[in-house]
Amino acid sequence: MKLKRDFYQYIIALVLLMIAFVLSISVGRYHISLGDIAKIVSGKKVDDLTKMVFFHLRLSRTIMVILAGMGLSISGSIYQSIFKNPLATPDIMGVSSGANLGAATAIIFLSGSIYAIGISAFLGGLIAVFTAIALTNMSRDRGISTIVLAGIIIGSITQGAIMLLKFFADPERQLAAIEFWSMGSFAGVTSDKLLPILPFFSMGIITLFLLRWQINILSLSDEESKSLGVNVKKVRVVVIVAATLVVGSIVSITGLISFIGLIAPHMGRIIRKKNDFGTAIFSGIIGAIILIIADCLARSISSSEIPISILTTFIGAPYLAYLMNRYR
Amino acid sequence: MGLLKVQEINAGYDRNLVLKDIGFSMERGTLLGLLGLNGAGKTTLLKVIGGLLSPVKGHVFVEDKDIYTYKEKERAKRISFMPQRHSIVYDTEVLDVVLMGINPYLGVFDSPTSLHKEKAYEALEDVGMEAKYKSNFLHLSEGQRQLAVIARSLLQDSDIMLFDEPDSTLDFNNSHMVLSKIREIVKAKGKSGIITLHDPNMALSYCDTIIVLKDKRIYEHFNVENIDKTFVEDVFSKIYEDIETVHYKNQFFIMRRP
Repeated sequence: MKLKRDFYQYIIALVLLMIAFVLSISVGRYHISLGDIAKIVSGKKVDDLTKMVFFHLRLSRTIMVILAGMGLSISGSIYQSIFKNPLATPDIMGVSSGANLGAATAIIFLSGSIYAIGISAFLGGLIAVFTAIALTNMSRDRGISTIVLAGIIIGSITQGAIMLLKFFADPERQLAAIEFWSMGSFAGVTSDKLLPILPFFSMGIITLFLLRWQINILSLSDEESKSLGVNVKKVRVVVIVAATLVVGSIVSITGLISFIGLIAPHMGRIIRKKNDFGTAIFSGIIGAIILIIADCLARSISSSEIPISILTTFIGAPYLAYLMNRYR
Repeated sequence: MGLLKVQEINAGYDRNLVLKDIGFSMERGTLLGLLGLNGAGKTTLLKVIGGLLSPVKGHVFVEDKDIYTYKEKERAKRISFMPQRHSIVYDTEVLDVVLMGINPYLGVFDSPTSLHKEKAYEALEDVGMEAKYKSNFLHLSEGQRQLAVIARSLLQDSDIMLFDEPDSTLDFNNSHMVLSKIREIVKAKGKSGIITLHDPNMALSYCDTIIVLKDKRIYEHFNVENIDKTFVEDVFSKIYEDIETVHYKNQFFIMRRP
């Protein structure tokens, strides 16, 4: 009976994801009709321009949106589990701002190539998360507000540093790149950009999958996890690095995407009424659906494309206000 | 030779010693009650024995092996610890809470199998909670939660079971229900149980031996079977001051003098 419910929840979510996927392929400045999509999928002939747009623009873009939605949501869900805090997402703990600073540093001081930005963003995120942990440990109160405060502190420091970098940046190339990166976008994602991050993304997700049961237990207090035989310090560091690797690999291409890691896991938990790895994956599907819809809007709402974080922030910030009320 | 041997323990937090020169040993099939006022070091002692707080000095041996030389998983197979309050934040099914007890027997990349789930269900049967196995843990009453966590300790199946004030959030009926369950398990499965309590009457009713902590040390360590009224009054009046002892149906009860 229960298994059936779980099963149906997954099926419904996957069907919605499929619909969103088709929508994402179709929508844009160059419209691809459902008929054309069916033709391409079944291997029939369509005109060259449609085929080019399908393979080179829409398909890799849509796959990237799905990966980003899934990865950010799964990581968000796992952050929330191991910090035992429903607001502990990469955004709120300052990981995103850390990644942002890392990316800005790479844009100014390093080549600004996708690899340099990616690695630098990942390291920035990692430094931020461990700083956040150190800050929360310093406080007596490990409650929800402490993590939010730690995030604010890290956010302010990184914002200061980013402003400094911007001040010295070349306004033509570097400044624009930094601004654009901090707002996030799926524009210009091609398979050449997508493929290099796949190994890192997969490595992170596979590690999280392998440690799924340990993550479950880490959602208890440290003492309780320890008494159940978990090497808390070691496992937690591996989990944090893996989850941050997933976030880092995504944002190195797309730039910052706010709030998905907060909204989707929470919705997943409300629907499934559980907090296991299955729920993290389910949240991933929800995150992918939300992000596809946001990206479709970003592409079609005005004549020029809107950065994705503008939209996710407008959805996410009110949701955060609602959560604050709920977990007061 | 005892299953558990606690030797000359000094322990505390930062530079503050909370416990001094604590030593005792325990056999299988016995339940030990730790009594003492707030801050007497009951929970600290339990954490030291559970391997959660390294002592400043001294050793804890299980079958002659120092528990601080065990790896986490090996130690968890020998000692389980039930905290004063569970720390489950998110919606979780009762069966999944119990299943966490199987962790010491799993590899780091493993998840519980259906066989483990059956065992978890049996552990719930042992505490009479099988009907709730699909319920949301957070929606249970405090007493039912405690029973579910006891089922988790059962699944963990360690020789030594530690319980930190399992009755602190329970009403009268639930306190007696949980403590008699703990006693029943310790006796039936030949475990060594240590339980911290606030209420001396609960300790006198359910434990085989009692340790009273006072001024960082063991003030008294006695077997409940071999005591008389003067002894009880003498020991407990040192802690609870103005008390009177009543002997009723082969058992001692302590009351505050009106």
